[in-house]
Amino acid sequence: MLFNSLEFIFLYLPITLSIFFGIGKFGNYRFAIVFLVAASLSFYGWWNPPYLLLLIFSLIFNYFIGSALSEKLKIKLGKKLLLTLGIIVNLALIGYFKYANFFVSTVGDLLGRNFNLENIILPLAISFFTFQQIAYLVDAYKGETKEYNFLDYCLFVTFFPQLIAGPIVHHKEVMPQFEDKSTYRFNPENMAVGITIFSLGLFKKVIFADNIAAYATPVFTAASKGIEPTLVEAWVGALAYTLQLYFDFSGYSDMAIGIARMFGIKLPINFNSPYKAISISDFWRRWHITLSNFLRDYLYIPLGGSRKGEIRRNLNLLITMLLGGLWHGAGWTFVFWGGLHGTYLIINHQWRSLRKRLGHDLKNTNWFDKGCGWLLTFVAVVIGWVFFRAENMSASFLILKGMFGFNGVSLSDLFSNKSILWIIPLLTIACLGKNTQEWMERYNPALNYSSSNSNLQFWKRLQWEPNQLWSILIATIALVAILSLSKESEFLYFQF
Amino acid sequence: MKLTQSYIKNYIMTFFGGLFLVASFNFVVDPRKMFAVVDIKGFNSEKPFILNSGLRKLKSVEIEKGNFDTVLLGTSRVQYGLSPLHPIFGSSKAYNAGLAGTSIYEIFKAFKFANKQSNLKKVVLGLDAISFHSKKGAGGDYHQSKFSQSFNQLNFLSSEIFSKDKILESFETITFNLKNKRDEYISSGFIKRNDSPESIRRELFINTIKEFLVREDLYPGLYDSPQRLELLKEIFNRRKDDTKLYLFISPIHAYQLEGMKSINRFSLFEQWKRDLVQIVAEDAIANPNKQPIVLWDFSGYNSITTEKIPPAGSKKEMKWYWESSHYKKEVGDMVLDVMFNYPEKSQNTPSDFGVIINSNNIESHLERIRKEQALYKQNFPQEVKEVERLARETAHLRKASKID
Repeated sequence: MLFNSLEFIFLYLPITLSIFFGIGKFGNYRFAIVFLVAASLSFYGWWNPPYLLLLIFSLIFNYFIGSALSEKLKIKLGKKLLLTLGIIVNLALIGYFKYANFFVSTVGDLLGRNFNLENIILPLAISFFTFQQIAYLVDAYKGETKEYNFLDYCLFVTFFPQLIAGPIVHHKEVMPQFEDKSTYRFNPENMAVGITIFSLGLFKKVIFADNIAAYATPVFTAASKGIEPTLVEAWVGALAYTLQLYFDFSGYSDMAIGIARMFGIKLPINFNSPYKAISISDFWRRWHITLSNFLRDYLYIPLGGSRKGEIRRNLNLLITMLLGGLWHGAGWTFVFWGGLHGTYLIINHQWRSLRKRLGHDLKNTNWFDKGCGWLLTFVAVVIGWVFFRAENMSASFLILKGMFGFNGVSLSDLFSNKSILWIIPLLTIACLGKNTQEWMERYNPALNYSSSNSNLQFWKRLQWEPNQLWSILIATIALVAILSLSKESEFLYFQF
Repeated sequence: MKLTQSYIKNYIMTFFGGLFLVASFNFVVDPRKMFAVVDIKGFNSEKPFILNSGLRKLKSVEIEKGNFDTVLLGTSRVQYGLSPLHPIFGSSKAYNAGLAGTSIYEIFKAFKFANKQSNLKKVVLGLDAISFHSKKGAGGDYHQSKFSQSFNQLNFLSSEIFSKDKILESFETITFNLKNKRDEYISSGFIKRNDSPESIRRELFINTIKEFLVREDLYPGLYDSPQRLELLKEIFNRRKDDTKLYLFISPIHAYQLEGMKSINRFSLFEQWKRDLVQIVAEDAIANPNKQPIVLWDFSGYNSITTEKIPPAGSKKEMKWYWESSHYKKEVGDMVLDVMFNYPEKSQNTPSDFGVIINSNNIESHLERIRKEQALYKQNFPQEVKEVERLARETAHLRKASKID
């Protein structure tokens, strides 16, 4: 089930909320958790019931290994061996379901043969629950996990708002919230904040992302067929996709954060106006934050981080980003995208070291430096997204060629005037506007969000508050989004 | 606490209030005739958006509600050609379930649905070889229709009443009605085609045949495999014992047959007919308790299908055809007359129009058509040359899609 489906909004969500708080009202918290786990599993099973078994296996296996690692369970195996086993099994699962075909066809390509496994359907959410549980195992190994019971653990992994596409939740962030009894009592503030964030997310996804997608898709489809987009067309395609991805993903994260909040659970912030970043490392502190944190804590730092000298640091960065790229999808374009960002980060670090050596004060930058930094970062990110979106490497290069003007400048059928009417406002919103967390700042919209502490009285007056005006505005936004969920596909006339 | 509570209350009231307003408006105006509850002349009775819809959804809804005892199935030729109001149907309730751009798959699903919904006494099925292309599946709004197993009531309501697009359509429907304009959708699934008086017939013939010569799912890929006959057999097998099934091959204009011939597809068309005859014969043995099926062939070079095409530039209307592929209602009326009055002959129908084909006469029938084809070339050499020229001119387009 998707958050932006009618079944979810009008049936699943209200029913689950009512039953959950109904049970909570009678003070039976364990039962409320059992219900929420069951509801989350059915949410997952809705899509492909057999894969529910995979999720349940993964849950039981990881809880078992975790308990052994935290010595709750006595097992005669060394801890290091247990952790290795745990990680290998998790990686083997994701490896089979997500990467087997990629690996086999790559080997085939190298041998000049055409290998292919039969169609393996990628289990939804496997990338997310695998990461979440590996983090848990590593922390159990380090003795940083408390004695969680199985039920809480199940909820931590399967809690449906974050199950499918994150934010990637850390056990330390949510487990204590499950233990808090006040979570199980209906709280109007949580509900008001929750529906507001959800409505904003839905609007971003349905109105912004889905509409601008119409200008990205044709360019990338054309490029995959070998058609060369001209200068403006290539930029329209790349920018439209840049905006589509942001509003889609951050909208989805908002929806997840909003739904969780309705249940009284705060999820971590996942996007913090990434297109306002003034350097590439700034970008990664703002884009898909929970993934960046995971990669930092469970890959980059264990690899040695920046503790083993500059060369090793650069290598670690590159490895982290290459694997991060591969995590997004099984294909060379994703690996290349990761490598590109790794390279960006290395250049960024080298540049900073150089400036430090030259005696520049890095904290003291003027608006011009910031502007140049922003522009460079933004263009670099847009170029990255071309690889991220394109069907294959040659299509990516065709679009890049276009962006650099090598395919000419004249406009063809690929270009639509309307695209500009979408791109400019959305670009303005993404680069200059306030984001969901900023609007909701006074009501702790998400974990790990440090408020800007802006003292501007004017801005403070604009911010969200549970008053009549805002309720009408937000309800209207939600209504517009819901009414736009179904699109009538035009039927071309003159058929036989 | 108070503040947030009233915030939630206001939110819910605004949201559901707005939803209710939108839904009622769309329900009342009903731009796609899905509910047919309110029908006010000069306000919403004409529905200009129906034809854009693909019509699968509407037809499935109407079949579900209508309790028809006769359905007319087939492609756009049936949809524009066979009137469910023809006197031959008498007091029985007939519905035209013909679909544009359809395949035998959709026709089968539409039949299955109608057969389940009502007690069908008569089924008329117009056959076109193009709908048997092995890769032609569902089209239009099929997946949102009740013909499809993926039909979902919530999505149906969402697209028909909880929808921004529908608000715009509703407004435009009202303006259309206020201007006293007429749309083409009549009722019971039939569409009354009205071409502009400025239309030049020969141009329409040329444009139509060009499309048929180029598109893989039309003549280049004509009857690419007999596998889709299985779906027709399924229709045979599923019909109730007392349902009478009338099968006929569409009376397309001779110009179309010349199109097939020009790219060497005519023998496939003949093979398709042979295979039809065979499965009809097999059905007589397999289903002895059911009403026997009669297969009529109205195609070929008869006095209707060889109607003279007006010269280039002429705006003269033709008596029987809109263009080479679609016959007019007058032809459809004759088709129904011939089939339903058999064995009596209809007085107003030429005697060479419509032949029952079966295993005994199929080869002689095909042989006769081939002779008539030669005759047509003698009598209308310009038409044959024109089609051949168009075939040559479109050769590169067929090559580009790796068909020839």
